[in-house]
Amino acid sequence: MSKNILIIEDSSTMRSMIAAIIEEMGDLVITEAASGFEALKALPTRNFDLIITDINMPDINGLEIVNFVKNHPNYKNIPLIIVTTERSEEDRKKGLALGAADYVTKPFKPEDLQKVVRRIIG
Amino acid sequence: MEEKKKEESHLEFIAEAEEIIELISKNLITLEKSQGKPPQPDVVNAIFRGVHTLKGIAGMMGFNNITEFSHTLENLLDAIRMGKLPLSGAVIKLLFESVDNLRNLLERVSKEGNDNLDIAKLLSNLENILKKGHEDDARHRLEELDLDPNILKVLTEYETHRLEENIRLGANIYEVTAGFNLETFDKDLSDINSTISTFGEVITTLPTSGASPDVGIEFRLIIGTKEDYSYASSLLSSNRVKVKEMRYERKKEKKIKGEEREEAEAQTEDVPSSVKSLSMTVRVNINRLDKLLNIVGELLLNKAIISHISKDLRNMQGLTDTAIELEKAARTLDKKLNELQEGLTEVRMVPISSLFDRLTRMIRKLSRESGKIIDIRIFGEDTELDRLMVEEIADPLMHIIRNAIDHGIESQEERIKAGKKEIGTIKLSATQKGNHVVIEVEDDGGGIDFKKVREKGVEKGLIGANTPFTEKEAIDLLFTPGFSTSKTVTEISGRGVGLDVVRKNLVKLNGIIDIETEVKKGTKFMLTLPITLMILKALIVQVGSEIYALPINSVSESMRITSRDIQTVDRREVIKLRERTLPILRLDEAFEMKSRRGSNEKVYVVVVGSGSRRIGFVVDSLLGQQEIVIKSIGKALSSIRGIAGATELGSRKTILVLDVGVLIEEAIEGYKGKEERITSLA
Repeated sequence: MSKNILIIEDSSTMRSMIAAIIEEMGDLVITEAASGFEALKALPTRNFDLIITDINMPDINGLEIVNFVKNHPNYKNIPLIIVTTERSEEDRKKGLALGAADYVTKPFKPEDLQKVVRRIIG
Repeated sequence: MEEKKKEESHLEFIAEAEEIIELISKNLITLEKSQGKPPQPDVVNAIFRGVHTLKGIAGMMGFNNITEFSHTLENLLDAIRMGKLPLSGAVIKLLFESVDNLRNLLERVSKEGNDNLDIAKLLSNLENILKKGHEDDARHRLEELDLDPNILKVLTEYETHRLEENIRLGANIYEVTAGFNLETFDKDLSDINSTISTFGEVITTLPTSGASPDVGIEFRLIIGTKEDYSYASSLLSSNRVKVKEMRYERKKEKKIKGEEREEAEAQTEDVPSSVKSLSMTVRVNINRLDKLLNIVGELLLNKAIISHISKDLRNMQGLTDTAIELEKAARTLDKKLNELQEGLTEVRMVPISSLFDRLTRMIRKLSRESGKIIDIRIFGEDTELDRLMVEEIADPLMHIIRNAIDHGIESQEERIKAGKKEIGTIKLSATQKGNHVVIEVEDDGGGIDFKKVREKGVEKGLIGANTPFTEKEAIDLLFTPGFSTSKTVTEISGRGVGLDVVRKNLVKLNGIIDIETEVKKGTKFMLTLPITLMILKALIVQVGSEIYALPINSVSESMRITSRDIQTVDRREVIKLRERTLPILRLDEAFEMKSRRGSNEKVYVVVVGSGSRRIGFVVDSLLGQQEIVIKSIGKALSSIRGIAGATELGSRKTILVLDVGVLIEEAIEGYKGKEERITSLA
């Protein structure tokens, strides 16, 4: 059965790049959200197997997404990968403490992201 | 990635990078304008985020120069947004140069497919300025504070900094909890956000599953504001939204700073009245102020009665001590009541800056949506206006600005072709002229083409094909209902509301709207408004074919009678009211209108005044109660006694407002010419 993946990223270039990298991995259904709001609306629409979220976004930041998912009765088992930058080590630590499964640091190579995704959803 | 995908993401990168660079440059213009003041955090952060995103995507695409350059630029902006580097003129200049450099790099990418330009010099300039920054000494202060650790856990570094900064500046921190339906939460939340932005800053928005996670979602917003709890709560609280104060121990030294600031403010205000000083520390619901003003109105009526009794007393007894004392007291009362009225009016005044801020945000948003870059210039934001007026003119101004962006300012290509500056300008200004405030919205767009206005007017059948047509008439045509020169309905201004509605709203506020326009140069809208908006509840009555308004605070009751109930005592017309006689005044006769009533016809008596100075106005019908704004009437009509002013009813119909005090005098004195007029109620 194909896996459902939600990508939350406000930069359209970054979002489609991540989608393209993951699509190469095969049988996956990808949902893209351009903001935290869109993500909150997308969450009830499918049973997601993985969420990949940017941290630095307006309105609702990625840490808040992690916190929301990990404390929500319906979503708390969905693993999350946070996309961080080398600048925000503090944010990365916070994300992992809140329950994110793993992280990648921008800029990353396609293989880096694929490796992390594979490790989590097999 | 496959080749095709690579090419696609290449194009996507250029498009997004262009967008980001434009956004940065617009925000820089805003920053440049607010130089000298502390930079607006949302503006600095928007620039930072733009550069941050650019760095991220350039890094992924392998454009090393853009990545390196935006990395250094990002460091600089981070230092600014974290308060480690002051935003000086030199820094702003360097930021503008950096944006130009990013544009050059991007152009290279789009033409040559690489970003090989020499950026060394600008890079070292950036690094040199960065060295001047200092470490933020406010770090970790939050840990000393009594804040919910669950919230600190989810704040990004920047949000943490904003929270610290708000606390450092002595702001109040509130937690706003709001529960919404999953379907509509984004709209609901953005409504709350825009309310908050009028008085404070949203530091973070934290979603939680809430009590019913399948259908609803809850948000915790942490906001910082200078306003007190009751103000924040009165604007935000509802059955779905709760506001809670987040307490923290303020450091002593900071507190002293806050007090000093207040003292400094107090010293610059040299208004002696105690009412004014209250306005610095107390927030009052405007409705309460209106209530007080109404009470003052009633007191003025009573004062008029006392003055009169005092005069009567003097006439009967001569200049006795009692008469003199009473007259003195009446005069003092008069003076003090006027002061009270003025003071209360003054309390309602607010600077127009909050409205201008809102408009600026809207312009930014619209310019983003329309793809037109717009430079916003603001003048006179300290000009004060009645709070209610500020609210009432927001919509008309937004409409005018929408028009300016949508129809006024041309696209970049058109502007370049016309030899104009690539960036359009919108100027917002406010100036006080006597008892009026003039607000101008000026754009440097294409101006209004009167030929087109004429064509459209003919097409719509609003004017004849051969009717001579002056500029003034063209402008009048723009304000005619059903007129719109826009060919297509756009998202920005195609809302089915035309300038006719704008004018109608302004007229309601006793304002005037004028347009100056020059083809290819631009258009200027000038709104002239009275500084205060005296709102009064009035009873609307009909007398013959005329309609009048009576200030409701002078009306005690009204009843239906037939003409037969009217008797004549001592050559005066009276009716019986609860075993007492009440003199009446037929308003149709008072205004010398022909009466068409028969003796059986039902009429209404409106009882006004109080005590011995109580009479009944005879009117044909009562049309209801309404809030009205009293406007003064021109000199030509000012000699007519018994008229306090005019007002506009909904349908743009002008009616007269009766001066009840004078009419009572006239009736009681039996239309004897009186030399002195008592103070009118209005």
